[in-house]
Amino acid sequence: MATVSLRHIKKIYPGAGEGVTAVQDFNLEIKNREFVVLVGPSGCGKSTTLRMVAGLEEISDGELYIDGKLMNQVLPKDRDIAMVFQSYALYPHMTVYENMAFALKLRKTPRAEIDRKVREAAEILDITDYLDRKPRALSGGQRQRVAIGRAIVRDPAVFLMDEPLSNLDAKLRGQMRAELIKLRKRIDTTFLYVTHDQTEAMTLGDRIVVMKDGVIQQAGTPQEVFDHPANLFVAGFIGTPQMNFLDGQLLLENVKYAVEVDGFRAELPEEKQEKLRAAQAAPGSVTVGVRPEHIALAQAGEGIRGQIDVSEMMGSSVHLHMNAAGRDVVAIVSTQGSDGKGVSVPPMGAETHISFGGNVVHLFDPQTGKNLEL
Amino acid sequence: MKNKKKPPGRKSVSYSRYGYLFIAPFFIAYLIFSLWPLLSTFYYSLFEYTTRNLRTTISFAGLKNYLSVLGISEGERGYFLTYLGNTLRLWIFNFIPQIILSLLAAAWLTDNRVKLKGGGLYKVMIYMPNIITAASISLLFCALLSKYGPIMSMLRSWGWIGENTDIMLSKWGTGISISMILFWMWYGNTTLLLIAGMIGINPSLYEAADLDGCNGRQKFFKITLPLLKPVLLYVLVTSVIGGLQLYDIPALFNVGQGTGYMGGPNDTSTTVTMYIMRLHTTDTGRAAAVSVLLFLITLAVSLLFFRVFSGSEEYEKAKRERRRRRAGRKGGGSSEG
Repeated sequence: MATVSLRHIKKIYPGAGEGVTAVQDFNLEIKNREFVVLVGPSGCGKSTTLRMVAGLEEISDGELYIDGKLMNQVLPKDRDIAMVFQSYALYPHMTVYENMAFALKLRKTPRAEIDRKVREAAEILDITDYLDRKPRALSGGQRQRVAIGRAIVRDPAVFLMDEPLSNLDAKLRGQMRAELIKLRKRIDTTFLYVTHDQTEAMTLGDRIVVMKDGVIQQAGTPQEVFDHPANLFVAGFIGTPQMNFLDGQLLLENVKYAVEVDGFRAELPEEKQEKLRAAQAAPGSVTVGVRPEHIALAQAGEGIRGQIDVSEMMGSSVHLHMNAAGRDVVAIVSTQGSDGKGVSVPPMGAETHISFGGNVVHLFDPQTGKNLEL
Repeated sequence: MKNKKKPPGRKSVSYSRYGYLFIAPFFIAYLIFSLWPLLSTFYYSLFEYTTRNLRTTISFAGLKNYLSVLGISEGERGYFLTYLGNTLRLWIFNFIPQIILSLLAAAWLTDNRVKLKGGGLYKVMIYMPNIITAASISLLFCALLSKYGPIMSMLRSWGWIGENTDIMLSKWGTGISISMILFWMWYGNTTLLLIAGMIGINPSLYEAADLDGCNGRQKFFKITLPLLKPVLLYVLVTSVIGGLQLYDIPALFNVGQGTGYMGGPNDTSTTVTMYIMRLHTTDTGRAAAVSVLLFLITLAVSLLFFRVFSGSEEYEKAKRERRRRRAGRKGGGSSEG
């Protein structure tokens, strides 16, 4: 259990000219027992940040504090952290037991205590039967558990995880995700978790930090980030299928804001009006973001006209990929109405009309990409 | 229609036939040049070859040749063990520094944090001696280290030695020189093999070890060495086999100041294979017996190493079992104890 504080952290890899900047001015305060997820596409600097916290990468500039102590020059072994690697990094010549006991042995922990801790962790992770096996005799999911077990026995102040589920198949990943949530309740410590998978980020994190090109785009609770994305990148990255973006106009009439897309007008609720007024949003061109699940099919002649390219049947819903107002738009349409009866979904190639409410639109500056409400 | 119908068996092509064809040359060469001579050597070792008046008589001798070279026969001094001792001495003084320095060099050259410059050039340089023929190297060092050669002259001009010494007259002078030449020749090869082995180790294991609390030395002994085991075994076995058959360097290094008598001084640098060569023209039976003994020793040593290295897993398992029982007793017993 500890707080982690990253202040103006920078990572510059030496190279031609000024070198390559992997992480720029990273600021984050992680509270005690908080589960923070760093999420972003490949190369966004999330793993580098984690590795700097672990001490595996040198910090080029800025300060890292764990529990108030400056850690920049402290060796990894003295930072009281444990890490689960993407490749698991289990010692292939040691058994599961030895892998888990290794760190404790190096710390000269009494043998009986090592045994107790290893067995306890093995019990939690359901790997007691494999303690005598070598890693190569285990499946991917079991290896993953051993890697987590190796970190648990250390009882670290901060638990670091670098894409721990990305080597597992989709089904196992789902299971392990659920187990990590349970595990998190049992081991009460601070977590810093790196992933490129926004579903993992949303389901696991108390707070998620969305990164791109070495810069934090937004940090907040999953709900905050989902409901109020700070910019176009976050809006597009969080949520599947991703948010639709349409070119529209922000209108200001009689101190009331409204949005118009391709002739379709949506009135904005009072909450949004206030935010836009507070941010002094200027009327003009805007990028309108609407999540696929918020798009509804409209009667002919109403809403925005579109043509369906592809229709994907998902069981309880259909994903309609269409071209509307000059953009590719995805709409999720339920195959069952609220009365439980089947709803007819327009076929591929058909012309259709879509609409959305003013309460679900997100408005972004088309030039800077920033959310106009924030 | 009729012609198109073929019996079902002829439709499939037996590709394995081509495989056998391609590997056949090796087996034919092996049978003629390796297996047959090996078996016939066993056979020859059981006969005594006596040459009198240019006539060689061959008579069955049983194990007499073996007893004779081992010095067990009455009134005969067997040289086999003496020369085997020489061979091992020459090999050990080359191998021990070789493996230690190779491990160190390989560890340095593969360490990402050290980032040595010119590592590639170093690897080329240390490998170079291995591509020169042993005969040339032997003669080169023989000239360099001779009594009035450049090394002695240099040492004397620096005042390190009073007068030029002839190392060819000293058992240790000759022995250490031969070991040094062997070291110089094989150090690069061994280092490259170990580098290849170390590069194959997943770098994240070292990061995990860093976090687990290993220092550099512990990482080397607890991660690198155990994972290098297969490569080390290979290096050890090939080196032992090469060492037991050591011939060219000692045979050409101390050749008795031009008298042509090899293995000087006083046969202290004569190896087992040199002994075989010495015997084979006059005493085929005993030469064959020495060859068979050398073969058996090589086989035994190789098997032993394989056993020690690969069989250790069973041993470790037993050790763990014991430790678990002990821990179980101390910790008040566990479910599996």
